[in-house]
Amino acid sequence: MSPAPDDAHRVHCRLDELLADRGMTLTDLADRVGVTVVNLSVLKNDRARAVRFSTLTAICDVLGCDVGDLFTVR
Amino acid sequence: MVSIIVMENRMRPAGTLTWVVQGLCLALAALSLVGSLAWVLGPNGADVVPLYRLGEAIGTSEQNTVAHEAVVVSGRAGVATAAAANEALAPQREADATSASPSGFVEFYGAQAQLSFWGLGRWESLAWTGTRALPLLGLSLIWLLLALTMRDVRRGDVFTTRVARRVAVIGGLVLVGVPVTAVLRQVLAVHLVESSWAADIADAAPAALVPWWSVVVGLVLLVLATAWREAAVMRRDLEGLV
Repeated sequence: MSPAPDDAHRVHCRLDELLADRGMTLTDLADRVGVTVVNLSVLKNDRARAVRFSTLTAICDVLGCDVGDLFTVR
Repeated sequence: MVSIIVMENRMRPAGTLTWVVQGLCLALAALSLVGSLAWVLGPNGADVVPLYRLGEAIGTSEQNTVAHEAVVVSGRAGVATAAAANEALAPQREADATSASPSGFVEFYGAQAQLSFWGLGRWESLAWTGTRALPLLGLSLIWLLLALTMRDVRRGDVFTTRVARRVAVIGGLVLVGVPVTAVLRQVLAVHLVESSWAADIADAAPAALVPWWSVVVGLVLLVLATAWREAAVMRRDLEGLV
């Protein structure tokens, strides 16, 4: 059985909503997490294929949330 | 917005050097193709294009000539051997001088000479021309693949499986094409000389049957192509990693 294509996922990133709740911009988050705005934009728009644990940890630390709050499966 | 950002991330400014190299590769591809066509359409091929000036213009006049092969004479190197060989061929020359369709020409200088064939059979002619035209066609393909690769370099999209396949094709052409051509040329040269009127006194000049440099270069390119493919797969996996 061949693996599913990388783009064929249903994971939705709720970064937009979490940022709005906290009144933060993507640029602010990028500065504090240490990831480029481009990469965070990719994540926010569900175009990411994989996320490093270190990135997840940093985002959750800054937003004060859990990994489960960040993603849902549609 | 996202797509613009991603594109900007992947695009790099085109360097002048990459433009120059790509243009050079394309020019050499065109030149090799013209050279190959010159063999096919010239006097030794279909004989539909008079190439008496074009051959010199494109860097080689060999396409203008009748089929020929280098030969060596048995015996000690020196004037005596050459004189004996020329004397042995004197009756044939006299016969050719009065013939409407002379068979060929050879004149020995020392132990070496170039034997010219004026009346090859259809298959002999096709094989002789083919072993000259096909390598140039392969060379043209190699230059074209390099030009396409330089285009991808310019676009910042060079670590792809597509480029890896191109490198593998170039490696395969060098690894197989060069030795096969050399062997076919030698086999053909032996056949032509042995079936000519000079067979009693001359042999086809021995050639190194397998040009080992091409085997080495071809294998190196195939190894690089394998590594390149791995790199391309790795890059694809890393794209989209946040």
